[in-house]
Amino acid sequence: MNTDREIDKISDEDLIKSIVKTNDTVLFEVLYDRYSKIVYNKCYGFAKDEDEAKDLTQDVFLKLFVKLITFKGTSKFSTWLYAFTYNHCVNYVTRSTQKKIEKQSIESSGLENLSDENDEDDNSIHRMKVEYLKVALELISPDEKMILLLKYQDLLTVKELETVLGIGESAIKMRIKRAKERLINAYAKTTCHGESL
Amino acid sequence: MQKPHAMENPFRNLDRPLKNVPEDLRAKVMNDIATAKLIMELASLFSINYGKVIESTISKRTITKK
Repeated sequence: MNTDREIDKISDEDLIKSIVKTNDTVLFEVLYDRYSKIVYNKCYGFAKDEDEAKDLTQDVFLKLFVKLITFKGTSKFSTWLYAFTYNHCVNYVTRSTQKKIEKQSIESSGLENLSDENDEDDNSIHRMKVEYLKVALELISPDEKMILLLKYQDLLTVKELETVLGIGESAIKMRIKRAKERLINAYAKTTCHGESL
Repeated sequence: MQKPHAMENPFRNLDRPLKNVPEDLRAKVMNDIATAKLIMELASLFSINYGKVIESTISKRTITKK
């Protein structure tokens, strides 16, 4: 149908504006079709099994319909949606496992030379093997896993992370640095021979 | 073919191949959305549009002054 083709040509941002304006469920279906696979797979990364991934995806899309109005267009919609999805998953995992995520206070002394260290650590990360990386990601906190996925899987820049997570540049860099350190330690534990990076 | 020395970002391969979304999920989500829409519309019937109330009060007041 012609109308279907026209709908498919609409940019994400225009589609969101129309959904917010009209609450049209047919338009929301178009958004679901565009992003259900990626959202489902992201949820799967935090879920124990397929059923849990389905429940998480269902909740994300319901929440998305209600909260779509809060998308202000300051970042790409896909970027915003990834952070939205991870936030939901992190809250779910944190609540369900009763894990208390320690508050990460940021010491000013630790903020020096962050960019140089980050580049060096990226080489360590690129040398990791996928099967061990998967296990290592389960050993760090969901918050740390989220920021690493946003940076290395979805390739968000520090600026984009600042926008979608609503925290400053220094805090972002510090969180990435700490998450990477934890991941590298966890990775060393998961490899049989303590494979060094 | 892959280059033998190219250093790949392993994060990009974490969820590969992407799993297909279960087919029954679409209907469940859209059912949720229909319910949410109904609730939102019902809620809007019972809420006062303060903006409009203030606007109409002010305009009436101006008219009385004249």
